[in-house]
Amino acid sequence: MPIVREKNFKNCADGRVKKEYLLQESFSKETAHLLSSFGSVNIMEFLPKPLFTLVHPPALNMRAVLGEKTIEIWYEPADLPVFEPLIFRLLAEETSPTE
Amino acid sequence: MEPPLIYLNNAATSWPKPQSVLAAVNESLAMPFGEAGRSAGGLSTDCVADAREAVARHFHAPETDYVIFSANATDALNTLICGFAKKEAAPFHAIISDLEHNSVIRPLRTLEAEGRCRITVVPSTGARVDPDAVSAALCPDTRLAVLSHGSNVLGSVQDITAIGKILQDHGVFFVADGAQTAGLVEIDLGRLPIDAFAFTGHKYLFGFPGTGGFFIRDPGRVAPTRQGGTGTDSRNFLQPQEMPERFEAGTHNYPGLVSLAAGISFLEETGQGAITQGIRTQTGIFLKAFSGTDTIRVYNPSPDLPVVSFNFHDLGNDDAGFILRRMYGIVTRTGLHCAPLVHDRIDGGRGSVRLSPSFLTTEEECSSAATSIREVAENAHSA
Repeated sequence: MPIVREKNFKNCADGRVKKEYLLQESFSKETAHLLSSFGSVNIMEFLPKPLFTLVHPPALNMRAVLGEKTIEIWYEPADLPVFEPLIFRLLAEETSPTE
Repeated sequence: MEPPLIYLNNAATSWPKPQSVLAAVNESLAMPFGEAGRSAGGLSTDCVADAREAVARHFHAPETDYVIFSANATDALNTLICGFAKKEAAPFHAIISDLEHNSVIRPLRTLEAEGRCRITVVPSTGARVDPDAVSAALCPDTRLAVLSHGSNVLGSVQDITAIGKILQDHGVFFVADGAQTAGLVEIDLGRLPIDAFAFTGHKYLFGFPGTGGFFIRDPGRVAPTRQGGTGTDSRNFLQPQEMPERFEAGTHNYPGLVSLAAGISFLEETGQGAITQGIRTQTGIFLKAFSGTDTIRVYNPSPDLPVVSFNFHDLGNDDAGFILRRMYGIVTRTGLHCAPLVHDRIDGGRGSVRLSPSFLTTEEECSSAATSIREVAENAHSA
């Protein structure tokens, strides 16, 4: 499920950089499980729409509502150049054609 | 479908603005602005003078021209703190409390790093700064105290009359940070024992962002920190020392000041009694909904201002803010609220979720938000 484009960018009051990305498809449980190797994942199923969170301290944390096409990621500014391309690659790999 | 918006972040910036504010600004934009201090030539009225009079009237300022406009409370506090330090020949001692915003902490810590002052942070007790604790912090060389009038985290109003009398007795220059109280609490600058009062326009005075200022009782105590055009005494290559020119240079934020004056008019037409009652009703709705459960921890169960800070037992405040915004349309503020010191005491430095309605937030919105928050707390706990 590749990222289509960056939707929003914000320098947060706490010093982190928040980016919101548009995905090609809705964020699914499968995507959540794929990302579980990358950080500590939690899926809050008790909410009206389940919420996925991933924490990879101190570099980033990520949130997505299952069934929606956006993800929000908060980066430590110093880690952004390394981790943003990594996230793009990880999400793109999920839908790479299998041989 | 997106849930309807419930905006509960008025302690940051108020929204919506009264219709009368929007109409006044819209009307003012239809004509060229008459420039403050410059010949208006029959153009629109002098909106800077109008706003200055409105602020002076609202806060009962003894001298209208001792009301100075700035971009916001942060700008006002920087002018006061740095301008005061500029007048001091020797390094001095300053007092703040742990309720302060970074707009106070950072300018003072910067001065401290430059060796120009040292700082004592008076810890609050419960939600208040004890005047006796301020008294105990005084040193022979204490020259400045900058204290929050209303806490943006705990919603408590400090007894600046009692604190001011103590500081006055010791000749300490006392700046009260009224960013959270202006527009919510009756402020009488003619009677309060304070030397300067900083305010912002974009919160509870219902003006636009980019408005604010301060009142100063004795302008000679603070050096100007900027110089430039005033439209007066133009052959003088130094900043005029008359007020308000001593502290104001350059073109004002005309539409912003129109909004500020209109916001103050709205408050005055509404009346302090209705505003105070509105605060009680709104905070009461949240406090009642959050009582009787250990899934929500409220940090000040009796706020004076419409500020309710809390944490969920089973959710981080960052996640909570995201959930409330995305799934329930409730706009809150999460984290440290630019006031890091108090969080070390109340929540281990984690930060909190802050709800801050305004007079224009309806009771239905408060009730709906309170029910949703309680629901999230219970569901997260039983998950």
